[in-house]
This record gives sequence, structure tokens and C-alpha cells, in this order.
Amino acid sequence: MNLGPKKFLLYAILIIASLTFLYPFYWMILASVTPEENIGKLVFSPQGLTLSHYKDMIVKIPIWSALFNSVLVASLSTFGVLVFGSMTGYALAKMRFKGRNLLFFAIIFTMTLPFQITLIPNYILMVNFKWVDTLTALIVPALNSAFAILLFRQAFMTIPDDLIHAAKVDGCGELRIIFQVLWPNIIPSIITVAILTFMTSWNDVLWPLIVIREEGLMTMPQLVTLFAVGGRAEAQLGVKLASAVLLALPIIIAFIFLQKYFIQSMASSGIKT
Amino acid sequence: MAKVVFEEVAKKFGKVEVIKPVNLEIKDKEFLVLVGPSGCGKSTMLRMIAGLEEITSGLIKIDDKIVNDLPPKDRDIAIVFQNYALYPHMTAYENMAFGLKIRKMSKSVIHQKVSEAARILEIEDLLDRKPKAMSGGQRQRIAIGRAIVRDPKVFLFDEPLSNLDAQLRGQMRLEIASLHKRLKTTIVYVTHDQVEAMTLGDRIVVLNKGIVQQVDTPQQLYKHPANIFVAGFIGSPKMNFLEGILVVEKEHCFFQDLDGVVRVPIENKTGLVNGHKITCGVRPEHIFSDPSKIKTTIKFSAKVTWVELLGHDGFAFFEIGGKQHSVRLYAEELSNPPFEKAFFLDIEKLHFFDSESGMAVD
Repeated sequence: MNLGPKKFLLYAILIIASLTFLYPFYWMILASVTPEENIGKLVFSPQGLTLSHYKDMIVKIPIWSALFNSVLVASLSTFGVLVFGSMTGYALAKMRFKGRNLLFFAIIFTMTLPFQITLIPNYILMVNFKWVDTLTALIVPALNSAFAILLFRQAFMTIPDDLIHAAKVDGCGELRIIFQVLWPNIIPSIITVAILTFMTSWNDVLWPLIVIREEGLMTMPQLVTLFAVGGRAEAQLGVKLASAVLLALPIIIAFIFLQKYFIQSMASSGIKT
Repeated sequence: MAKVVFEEVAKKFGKVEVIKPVNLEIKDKEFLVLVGPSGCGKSTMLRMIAGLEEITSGLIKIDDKIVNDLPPKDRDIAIVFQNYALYPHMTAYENMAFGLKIRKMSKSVIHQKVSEAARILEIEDLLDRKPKAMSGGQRQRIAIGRAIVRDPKVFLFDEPLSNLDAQLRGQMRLEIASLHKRLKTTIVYVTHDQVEAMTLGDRIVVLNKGIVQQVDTPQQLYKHPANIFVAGFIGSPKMNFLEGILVVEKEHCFFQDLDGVVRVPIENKTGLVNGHKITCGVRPEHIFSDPSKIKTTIKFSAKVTWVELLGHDGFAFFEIGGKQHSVRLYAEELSNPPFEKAFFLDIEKLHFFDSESGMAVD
């Protein structure tokens, strides 16, 4: 390959940039299988191989129940966001009613509020509902999201009204129109919303830390955080890193398989074709 | 098979009245065309029949049943859209079968109905394809097929041929006409193309600014336009208009142009008074260069400044009183403009309108 100096520079910068992102992951995975005494010397090349950190971790914390909780919470909130987000987005994009735009702007406005501002009112609500220390407190508040509504609304707006009219004449109700007629035509948007919602839910630490205290109901990131900073790892870096790998793995795998859709959708959302 | 009745049907968007109260009866098995310039409300009227647009006041009846509050699916209508509106993720077969599936018909009945429609429309080899892999004409056939399989009481067509090229449009026009003969169903067809309106319609409704201008057969619209708008809208190039006044002398009435050059006897059926402003209209095809075939003629000469040749004939354009007029002539007569030429008007083919109200006076 013949690279000019300009291109060479460009590639060099891109490679350095990607290394700065990739190296911490590489180091984390490598360190999680390196004997504790060698971790300090670890730079690039492996310094021995052991699975003892993973074994220790399983003994010390209820990682499998946390994994189950995380999968359950993330899946149910993703499902909820897809269903309710598309219903809301459809109404805002295709139904005519008074105050539609006002409602839409109000929903967008909530996106500008940092989560920390609503944290306390939300917690009080959970207390009043008696949902503290139940998975309901993690799932129900996450069943719809302003971002998903925005993305679905934009996706539905690109679909011609006559397609919906044709479906109505064919005998479809609004729900069938959304899920049977429109959904198959906005798959990239659905995948984007699904990935982002799943990831947000999966990575969330703060909210679970506030509403869940019972170890058996904790999610992975919550448990791993408590484990790593709470002293139960007994200052063993390898065990901490093993739990971190287990936490990051599902999202990394999902990205590897779905990154194509992710980029496609990010590039096309908001642009009318 | 059904008749559709409009009783004082009106439609407002906010404060704007897009359809003024309409009374109309579409007969059973009739092919009715709604025609008018864009924004005249013709598509809105069609969508009101379909139930896709709510009506503000009045009654719409299909087969003597009031359908004002019925959702589209319960009105037993089918609609073909300008942009086809096929479901992009379904094959042609699935597109046609979808409405039947929702109505919980058995697979064998669906198969039979889709196959029959595919045979009629000659689209059997397209059934496995998705809309993306089809041309505009093929897509429109599938869309028509989707309407046929439903076997509805009323077919609604919303400018179905506008997205097709001229040649295909002509072919599809013939096919829709023969389809109507075969299916013997009530059809309401919206178009802005007067050729489609004239060739397809049993009757035509001419609309302008949400007001029904005239409802009549194509020939009646052409021969006896009810007002200036219809006169100008039907026919291409449009009718030539000459401003003038009504002259009443004893029992006789005349149209006299503003320069006092042309004076033609007319019937004053609407009882206008002497000096009332009147507009005389004559179609380009009723101005001749050869007077031998006309009984009563008016001769005039004009300077032709521009011609349009269409092969066997064409149009010559000239100005009178600052307004452009046209005349249809044989191609041989349309030599290089500009040139001076004598023309003859057929008095029996003249139309007269009240300039203020626009209504026909003869």
C-alpha cells in the first residue's frame, strides 16, 4: 500500500487514539488472569496465567444472582422502552391532538435535567410505593425514556402517512400499525434504542445503590462496585478486575455483533430520506 | 355495489373551511371523477369517504347507512394511493393478503382471491417480489390488486397515475376503465389531470377552492360549462375569453366586446340588464381558418406570434387586447411565426358568462 505523508499521519493518529481506548481493556482482561504478584509488572506481554481470581470472586460474592438480576432488569426495561417508547413516539409523530407539540417539548425538556436532580424525589416516590429493596424499583421507572421517544418519533415521521392510511383501510388498529406495519420498517432505530437502553440499564450504579440494599437483589455493577471499593476483595486487584471483566463482557459482545446497526442508525436518525 | 351520498358535508381545518357544504349522490356502479386544481379539496373529499379525514358537519352515507363515525375498516371501501403505500417489508402477495388476513379469512380463500386478482392484473410473476424490486407501474398494479381482493363496496383512487410516466399513464388509464367494466363497482377517482377525468368518468365533479362548481357528464361539461372556472379548466389549451358588455335592444340581446368590434346575438336567460359586463368564451378548436363548414361566422384577423406543433396539428397563439389567445390548426398552416392570418369563429360554439358572478348566461 502506498501511503502519502498526509495519510500516514492520519493513520498514525487514528491508531494511537484507538490504542488509548483499547489498552485499558486489554490490560484489564490480561490482569484478571495474571497471578496477583505479577500484576504490578504487567505492561504488554502476559506474565503467567491463572483462573484463581475468578474462582475467588465466585466464592466471595453472589455474582450469579447479580448477573441474573442485571439481565432481568436490563431486559425488562429495554422491552418496556421499546414498546412504550414507540407508542409515545407514534402518537407524537402521527396522531393529531391538541397540545401535541407542547407535550413533545416537555418530554425533550426532561432530557436536559441531570438524573441527580430527580434522584431524591424519585427515591421518596419509591419509599411511598414501598418498592425499596424490590426489583420493581429498578424496572418500573425505566420503562420509558425521553431519548427513545425522540428517536422513535423521528423514525416514524419519515414514514409516509398514506402507509398508515392504507393499514387503517386494511383493518389495522393503532397497535397493529405500530408493531406490525411500522416496526419492520424502522429496525435500525429499534436496535439503537435497544442497545442504548440495555447498556444504560446494565451500567447503572447510582440508582441501584440507593434503592437496593439486599445483596441477593443487587445488580452486577452495584455488586462489583461495592465489592471493589467496599473492602471485601481484601485489596486483591486480580479479583476486582475479574469481576470488572465479567461486568463488561456482555456489552462488549453485544457491540461486536450489532455495531453495524448502531452506526447505521446513528447516521440516519433525524435525516429524512 | 353501493351508492355514496353527501348531505351538506363540510370540512374545516381550524378556521379554514376547505370544503364548503356539498350535496352529492354517487350512484351505484358509477365511475365518478373528482377533478380540480391542487388544493381544491378533492383529495380531502375522497378521504372523507374513506374515513381518513373527519367531517366537520353533514352526513356521508354509503348504501343508505350513515358512516360519519365508522372507522375506515368498517366502511367496506378500498383505496389506491398516489404513492402506492405498499408495505415495504412485505412481498406483493403479502401486501395483497394482509387486509384479508386481518379479517381472519382462511388461507385457502386468501390464496384464491389473491391469485384471481393477480390473474386479472397480470401480475402473477411479481407476487414474490417486494415493492423495492418493482417499477412504479408494477407497484401501482399491486396497490390496485390489494384493493380488488377486498371486494369492497366502493373503490377510491387518489391520483393513482400521477407518479407514472406519460406512456404508462395512458396504458393504466385504459386498464382502470376496463377494470370498472369488469368489476361493476362504484368508483370515486381523484385527479388533477383533465384527460383522465374526461376519459374515465361517467360523471365529473369539478371542484375549486372547496366549492363544487359543476357535476355533469364529460360531454356536458365540455359543451355547457356552468361557469367561467369550469369553462377554463376543462379543455387544453384553455378556452379563450373576451371581455364585453350586454347590449339590450328591444327584444334582442347582444354581446359586444369592449372595442365595439364584435357584436353577437345571445340569449339572456338570466335576465341581465343593459350594459352588464359579460365574458365571451370560445375554445381553440372552435376557431377555424376555413369558413366553409360553419353556418354563422365572425371573421377576424390576428398576428400569430408563437406556434406549438404536436405532429398532425398544433396551436397558434396571438394577442387581442393584451391577452393571449390560442387556436387549433393543422400542422401545415403553422408556418414560421410571426404571420398575419384570418380566422373564423363559429357563433353556435360561443359561450357567454356573467363577468361578475362567473355564471353562464346563455
